[in-house]
Amino acid sequence: MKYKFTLEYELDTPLAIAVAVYLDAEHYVFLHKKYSDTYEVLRHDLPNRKILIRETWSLLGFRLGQTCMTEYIPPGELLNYDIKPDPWWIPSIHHVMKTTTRLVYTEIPERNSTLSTLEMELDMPFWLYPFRRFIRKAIERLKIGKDQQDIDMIERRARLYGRENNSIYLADHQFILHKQDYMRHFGPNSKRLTPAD
Amino acid sequence: MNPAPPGPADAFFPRPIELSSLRRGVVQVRDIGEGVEVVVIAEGETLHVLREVCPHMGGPLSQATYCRRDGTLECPWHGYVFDVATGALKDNPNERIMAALRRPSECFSPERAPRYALTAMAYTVVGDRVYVSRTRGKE
Repeated sequence: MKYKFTLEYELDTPLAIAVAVYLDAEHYVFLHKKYSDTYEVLRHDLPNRKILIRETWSLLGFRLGQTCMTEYIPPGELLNYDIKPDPWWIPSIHHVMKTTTRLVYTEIPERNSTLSTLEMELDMPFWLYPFRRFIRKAIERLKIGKDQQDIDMIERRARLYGRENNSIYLADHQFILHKQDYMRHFGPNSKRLTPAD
Repeated sequence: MNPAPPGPADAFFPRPIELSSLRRGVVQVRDIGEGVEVVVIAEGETLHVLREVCPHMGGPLSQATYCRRDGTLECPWHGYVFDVATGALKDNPNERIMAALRRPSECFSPERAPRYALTAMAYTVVGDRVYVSRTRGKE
């Protein structure tokens, strides 16, 4: 049975910064280590902007994890799907529930800020369906918690270097995921393109 | 009566650090006035007074992890590891974590990475007080 919901809020930062922070994978296992403390690239198809990753975390002395296909659709769309428990034998909701997430960042021009829209689709068996709101709350709590850590980082950087300063993400020595696409859309010579372009 | 800082008063930040308030081997943050915070690490007879801002992306070094054995500081944002004594970047663990994706391209040249280094603040100790100089570098 499918259950869909949307989590939407405004991030007080320009679109170029919100997207850069998402693509700045170097912070994932440090800033967000509370949520997962290892990140591993299993496979990638960079021309199609797809990366299969494994992330793990520690719970009650056990190491749990999952694999997930991530996909970037410029300028501001990020997909996560094919989430599987890893190792396969660990107890996980992903054995019985298929999860697809679509995160879309869009510009709010009047405030030079970003609308974050997370669309979740959970495909679960009927016996899990009564718990759908509980699962939703857990997912929302996780998403808001991670976003708050990002926002704290964004706000501190804005105080130090300026609200619209994305120069570090553009610097030729700095690694971010799908950098060429980011540069095309948010670099100094960027032309704002739509996914159709 | 509190001892006065040596030389012209405006050569130093207004709020000195009390030496006796420092614990050994841990990261401590101190407000030295005018909205400036520094990270202080006291180790044996050595005192490190560092700018609280990571030179990479501006991360809060007050929340950094200090390794006493290696004498290093790890930034909480991106895990960059710095040598506290020299200030130099010692390790960027992401070079290993992201190795499969870090392919040089027209917009990514890892060999051009700047020599990130912690900013050591010069200071002078007078009695129990540490006066942090407005000039950078160790005294």
